[in-house]
Amino acid sequence: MYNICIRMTGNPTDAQDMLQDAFMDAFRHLGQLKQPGAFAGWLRRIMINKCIQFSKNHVRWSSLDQDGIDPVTDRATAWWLNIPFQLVQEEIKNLPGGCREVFVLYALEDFGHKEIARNLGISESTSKSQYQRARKLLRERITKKMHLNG
Amino acid sequence: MDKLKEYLLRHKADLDVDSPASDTWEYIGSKMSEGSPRTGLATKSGFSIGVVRAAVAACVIALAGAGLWLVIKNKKAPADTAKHNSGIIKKVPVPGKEKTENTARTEEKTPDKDIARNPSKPKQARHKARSQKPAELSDEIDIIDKSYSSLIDYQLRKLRATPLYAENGSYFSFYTEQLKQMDQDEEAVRNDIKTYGLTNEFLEQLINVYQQKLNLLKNLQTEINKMNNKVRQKQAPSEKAEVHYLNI
Repeated sequence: MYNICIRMTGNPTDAQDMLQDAFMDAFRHLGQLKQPGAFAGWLRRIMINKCIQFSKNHVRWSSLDQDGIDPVTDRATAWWLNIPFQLVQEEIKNLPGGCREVFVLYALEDFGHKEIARNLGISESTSKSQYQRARKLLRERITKKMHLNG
Repeated sequence: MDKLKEYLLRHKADLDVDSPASDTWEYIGSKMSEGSPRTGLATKSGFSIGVVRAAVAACVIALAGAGLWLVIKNKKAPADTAKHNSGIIKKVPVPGKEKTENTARTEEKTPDKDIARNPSKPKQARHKARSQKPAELSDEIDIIDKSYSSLIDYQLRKLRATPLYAENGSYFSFYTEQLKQMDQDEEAVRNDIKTYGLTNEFLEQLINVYQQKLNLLKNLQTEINKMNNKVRQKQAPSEKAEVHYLNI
């Protein structure tokens, strides 16, 4: 749960606040949970909603220039294979606000662009372009770090 | 599906390498037992600030509205009272009052002429106008008498008709004695009015006595109802309680 929050907010302070808020919300509305077996999923959903709300209030969205993003080339090579997961997680957290949230929601929380657009109050094309931007930045940064570390 | 997405979803658990500060769970636990959220960054979020702003705006609007309403009401009140009073005087005739009113009216109609003829006359007119005051007060006392008496009578009838399941009438002797005392007070005020004439102070005293009477009767009714309810709750449905009525 904490990892969802830290990936979405990018910093531990906000992540801990989100975590606490989500637990308090879940605690307050526990009566609404009909099936106790669904608790984990229900709590996860509350957590994600909290993070989405946080992003909506803190991210200033701007339309993104699609130049320089080449999804075809990026997808052609599986550059992510053999990259330590710790490094991937670190670089996801270091992504700039906006593309980070879209990336997390799309790639890790299995949201569609339509759903992301609706939740974050942005257009579907913005969501797509932000995702591509995140992928590009991730690749660049991770590759650079891999080269530096040998 | 996007291959990177596919890969990350498959290894999602491996990405969960971060853990919160050691005291976070303790803190959440303590907050949950308190039942109140921490006043941290999250509470300072735009959403919370927005809600607070909206609440403050609503309060300001409500206060402004209330202020405006009070100003309008204060402006209207004197005019309304005047209208109301004049209406009352016309509606309730008092024996011997008509003469006074007629005199006052004829005197009210002619002041301009009097002033023209004799400048000292307005003083007399003013004096006569002041002597009209007791007549107005006696009208008021009649109205107050009628309305309060009918209210008190209604309350008394209600009390007399209320059955007493738990105690007989003597149990409430405290109330009946109080009522007798108030009757004496009322009589004393009336005697004062007869002796010294009707003034605003006496009128106020009379109203106070009436109000005290009403309060007393209301309290008595509440007390009886409470006792009756208690008896009904404790009593088995088959049991039949002895019933008394208040002689008040």
